[in-house]
Amino acid sequence: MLTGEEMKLKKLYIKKKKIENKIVECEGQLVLSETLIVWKHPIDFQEILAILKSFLNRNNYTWFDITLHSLNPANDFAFFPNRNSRFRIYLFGKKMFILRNIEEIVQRIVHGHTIEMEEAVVSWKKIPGVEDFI
Amino acid sequence: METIAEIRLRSFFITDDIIQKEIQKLDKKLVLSQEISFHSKPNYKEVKELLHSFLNRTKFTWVDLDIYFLVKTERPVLFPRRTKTEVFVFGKKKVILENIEEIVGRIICGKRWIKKEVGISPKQEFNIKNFLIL
Repeated sequence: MLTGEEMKLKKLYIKKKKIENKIVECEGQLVLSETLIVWKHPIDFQEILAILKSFLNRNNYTWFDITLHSLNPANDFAFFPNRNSRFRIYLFGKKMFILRNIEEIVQRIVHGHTIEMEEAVVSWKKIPGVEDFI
Repeated sequence: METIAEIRLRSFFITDDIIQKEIQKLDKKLVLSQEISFHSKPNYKEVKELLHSFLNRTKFTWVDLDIYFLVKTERPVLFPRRTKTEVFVFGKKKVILENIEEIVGRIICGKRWIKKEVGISPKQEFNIKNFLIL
């Protein structure tokens, strides 16, 4: 038999679960998570710029959660890119903002420098998510 | 400029945060977290007596106990090196008191065990949510 406070807590857990489901649903509509593989090493500015531009323009999402990998040439056909990547960097941000500042962002990616901007982040570590920006 | 979906998502995050705070507040009112250490090998009688008196003294409905037994190693060492056996007990005070003999036996075994409103584990894995949302 649950007490009044336990019942209240149970209801709160159920309410939280529903909100979390809505967050996941809404995030799924807003944020596109994708891994982009760069086959050349060292990576070059023009290539990353072209990959990013075409990828952003092809997708209609508002926010992007991109992981950029550069593969070890010896393992071009590896099944597990994560294990063989020479270079991995994360980019999270708003599509419009990334497109507006694409040159600076690509410079940062190419040089492996992290940056926190108004609506985008380039980082070596996984970036938390859309919650940090909105 | 935020889109409608972003505003919606932000309001979900805010609601989620409010619910989380309410949950924490209620959790604190209901659950007592306590560390209990024994400076000896697990001893049935000692554990039973201590647990019994501890539970009778507390007014909380649920307890979250981190029980550990410090045992001296047999090797001759300069410092009294001790090894630690840790058992986590989470459960409803009333249920623990009703089944104290069986529960103490399980604590001494240190193996994972779960009953209706009590969970014993070598890892800290149970919380009130596990038992309310069943």
